[in-house]
Amino acid sequence: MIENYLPSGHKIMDTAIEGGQKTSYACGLAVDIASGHCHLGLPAQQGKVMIVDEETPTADLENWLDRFALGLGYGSYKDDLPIYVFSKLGFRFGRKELLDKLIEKVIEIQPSLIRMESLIAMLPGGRQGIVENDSGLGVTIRDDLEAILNACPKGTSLMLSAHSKKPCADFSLDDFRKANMVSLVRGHGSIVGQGCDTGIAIKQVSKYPEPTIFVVLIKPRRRAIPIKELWVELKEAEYGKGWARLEKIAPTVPKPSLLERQLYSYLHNEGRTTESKLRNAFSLHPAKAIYNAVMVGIERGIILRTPNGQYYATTCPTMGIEVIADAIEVG
Amino acid sequence: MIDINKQLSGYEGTFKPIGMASNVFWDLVEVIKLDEIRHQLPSKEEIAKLRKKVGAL
Repeated sequence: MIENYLPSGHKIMDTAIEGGQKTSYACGLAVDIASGHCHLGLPAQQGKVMIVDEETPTADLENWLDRFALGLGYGSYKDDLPIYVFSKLGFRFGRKELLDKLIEKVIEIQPSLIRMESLIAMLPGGRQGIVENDSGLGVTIRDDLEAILNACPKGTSLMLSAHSKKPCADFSLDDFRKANMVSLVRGHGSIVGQGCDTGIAIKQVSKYPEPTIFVVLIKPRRRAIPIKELWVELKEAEYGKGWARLEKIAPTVPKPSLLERQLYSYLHNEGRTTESKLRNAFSLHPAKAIYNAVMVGIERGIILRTPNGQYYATTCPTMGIEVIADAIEVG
Repeated sequence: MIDINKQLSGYEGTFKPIGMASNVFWDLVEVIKLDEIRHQLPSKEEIAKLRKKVGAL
């Protein structure tokens, strides 16, 4: 579907934490495919897009689609692009009647891409409900997704969004790189095992008032994909308004967080410090956040670890802390 | 000044770099390519008709 990136005919699963750019990224992707525009500089196969959304408020979803359409020089997505949105249709996995209703629409539209958001929102509730940790959930999802894909033209891909587990909120970019899909996606392991042929993990690295930058990490499962990750900047006319575009950017060093800066200053003043002393000094922060901040400093070469497990800030005789702080600000 | 017709002659379909392109040239190629795609997109009437038929927003 997208050269060297998204395979045709796959069940694609994307995951990110809450507010981690899943919806905006999918809307940008939908507009690129519907218009045939290159997606992040990669040639895309033009085709119809069907969006089934049980989670995002309808107005917000349409706003994203319109903004991305505007970013490519189109008017409203409704008028100019073959994107067909079903918001709060009531679709739930494992319900044959609802599946048949959806398949009727798929047969009429014959889409190239079906976007479904989100897995959790599409679990049936009530007495006959399915919970996210149900061991049979993966098979139920697989059967429904296969039935939908069978009604589509050959080569159609289906992209289902899944929320990440809560601990992922404290994951560093490197943690996201190393983790496989099963350890990222919330719920039973069979969800990924059965419902995901190609995985995508999205990790936001900076947000407003800084530029909105996120990294799309590709987790191939059934087929090799040459691209490992894509750094993406959301460009927009103004924050939350006007045209929007997704642009591929070179990997960048994001501005250090407040905790990273405070931790560097602390180490600079205190000298060699043990882990337990660090944890006490920053006791209002979770241990994982402190660990991540230290690791970011180590990656940037401004914090060092002694062989006996103490940490200290590097100093340079010709540079004061302000200069180093400025240096880490600009990476 | 780039002669766009000369640059495009003998060039086949996939828009892969041919080693002599300037940024301006590739911007032009992108514009031409998008223009071609726009002509292939379904018309506004077709989009509206299908939207109504399937009950999409």
